[in-house]
Amino acid sequence: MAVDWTQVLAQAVQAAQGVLAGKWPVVRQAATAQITALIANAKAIEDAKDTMTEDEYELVKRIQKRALTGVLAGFEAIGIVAAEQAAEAAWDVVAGALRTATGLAFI
Amino acid sequence: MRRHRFLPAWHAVCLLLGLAILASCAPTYDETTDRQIMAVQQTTDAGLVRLITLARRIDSLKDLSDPASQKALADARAKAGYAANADFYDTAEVDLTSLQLRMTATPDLSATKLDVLFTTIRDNLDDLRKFHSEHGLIGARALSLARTPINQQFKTLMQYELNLKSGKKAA
Repeated sequence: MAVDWTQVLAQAVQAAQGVLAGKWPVVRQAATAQITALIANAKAIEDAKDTMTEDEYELVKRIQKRALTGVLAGFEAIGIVAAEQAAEAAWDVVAGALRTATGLAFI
Repeated sequence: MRRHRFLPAWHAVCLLLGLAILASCAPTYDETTDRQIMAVQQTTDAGLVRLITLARRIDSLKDLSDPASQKALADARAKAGYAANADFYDTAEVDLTSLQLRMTATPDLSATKLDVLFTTIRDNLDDLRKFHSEHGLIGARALSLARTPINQQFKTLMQYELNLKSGKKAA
């Protein structure tokens, strides 16, 4: 099923913003850029749905989430736990869209 | 009475000393660090690009059955295998640790924050290494998808150093 990735981007940003709440303005620019990159990679996963294995998907997922966590936690205002939760929230939105887009059972 | 008269002066001296110590602990721009970040990023990225190129070559050869293609395929598989690339991960680990030690030598809050960022970069490279050693090869698509966020992490380090250079708050 076709997915509107622009809408997914907005939802993923909203999900991260929901976790970081009042601290969001501090990280908005960097987080939005990072989540935009996350969406671009999600589209690439969608394109590779016929060849990507479950192990490869899990590897890519972990790396993407860690990168977002590291960038967010780099800000003085954001603790590591909040950064992890925000990355998780954004990825959950992306993963939901990927499930719809690819129909892959392991996502 | 005499003692009290001198106390404010001593307080001022202590305050100035404390401020001087704090100022000396604040991170400052370092050209060597700046160059080192670029060097580690370039070495890491070059290793990933090399693996992507080899993985694409394997993809293009794997359905060909002529002897020359089979030989080229075996050669590409050997070059892309974990054993041939263990040095890449070792070098990246050593370079990253050296950079981390240099950048976090100043005992301030940003050092703790940088440690978190370095940990996530190291964990990502370790994850790639583990996958590589367990599966023997990594596909071109997975490598490309891993390359982007890893470069993004290095970009954050570069931005940190550039902020110091321009006098902005680091993070």
